Amino acid sequence: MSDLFENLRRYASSLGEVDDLVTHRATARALATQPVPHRWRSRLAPVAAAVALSVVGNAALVMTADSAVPGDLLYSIDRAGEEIADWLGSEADHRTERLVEAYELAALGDQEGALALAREALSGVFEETNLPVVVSNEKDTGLLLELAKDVVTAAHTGDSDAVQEAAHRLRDQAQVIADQSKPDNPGNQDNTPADTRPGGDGDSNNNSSGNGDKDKDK
Amino acid sequence: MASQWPPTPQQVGEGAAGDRQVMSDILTLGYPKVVAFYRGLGLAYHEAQDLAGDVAVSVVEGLSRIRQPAAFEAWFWSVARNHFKAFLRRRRRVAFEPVTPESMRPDEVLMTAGEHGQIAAAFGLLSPKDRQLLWLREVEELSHDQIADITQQTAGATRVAIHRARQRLSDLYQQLE
Repeated sequence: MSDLFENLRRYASSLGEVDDLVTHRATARALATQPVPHRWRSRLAPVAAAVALSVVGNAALVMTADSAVPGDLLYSIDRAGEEIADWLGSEADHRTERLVEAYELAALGDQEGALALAREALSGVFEETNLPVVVSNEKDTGLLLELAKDVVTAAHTGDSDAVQEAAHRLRDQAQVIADQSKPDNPGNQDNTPADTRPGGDGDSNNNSSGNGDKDKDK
Repeated sequence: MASQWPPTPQQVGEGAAGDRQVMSDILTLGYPKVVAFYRGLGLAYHEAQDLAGDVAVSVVEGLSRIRQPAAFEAWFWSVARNHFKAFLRRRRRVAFEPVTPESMRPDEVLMTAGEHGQIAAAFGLLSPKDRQLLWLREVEELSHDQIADITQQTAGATRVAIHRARQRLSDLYQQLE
């Protein structure tokens, strides 16, 4: 009988293997709903009620827009909602969300858009301008996104050594891909000096939305 | 830092008071547990993830109202169980089906066919009530009293129900040998 339940525990353990990125995203979304501490809540209650009444019509729209990716009609609403949440003090994990969107865009075949979002996800953690602007195939994009995911995951842990190590791997791979693409596509030379790209400072997450729009337009 | 599960009453108190780091740690450890629980109850992988996300939101919203931090674990699983019941109501699903290969990721199918195939099949044939009871007792190792709080039954009735569920799982497991 004890073997039976030991088997059950091992089976249960296997069912609980969840990708770190998925866990981070769920955690970040839940934390974004964290209530304001009581002492502020009582003072802000009348204001909050008025604001809630005025925005309730838009709330459903913003929630619907949350799953939008660049190119969707609702994407700008999604980004605006995030900026408002930032302004209100939310610490939602936009880094993870950008990366998830990057995966979705890559799956839709938009390699350039995916890399632009990965650059946003890495903003402030990694010198994102080291990422190539264009890659020649989906496989390279997928590889870069996986390595970018490692950097973001390490950043979540707060382990600076792990961040540096993951960033080192990403930088090396980006360089390899950039080198490979040079002889075949000289036109990429124009895109290579990434420091000329708008918004390449990467100092703040709050700058990231502007960069992304510019990248998309580009 | 809540690097253990279940979190201590002090950590629960800190999370309830608005400590985002502690809350984040609680969710990071709790989320995969709820995903596994829902997978064990027969939900597809994406359904389990979505529903566990709803549980995480409820935990964040409700933790500040918890009266007894020491009872966090029973409260946490009550939240998970209530979300599951609501999910079933929404889907108008009255009968459970065993976890089937169609609802699994490919790597899970391979794994289930091998090492865990027999226990997965036997567990999947149990009633939903039995599965919940055994999961909480044998996997999460909750006490009979905690499970009684979650299921809102008496401790004695819970003890008997768990004993019978164990026996049924054992019988099914042997039949599949």
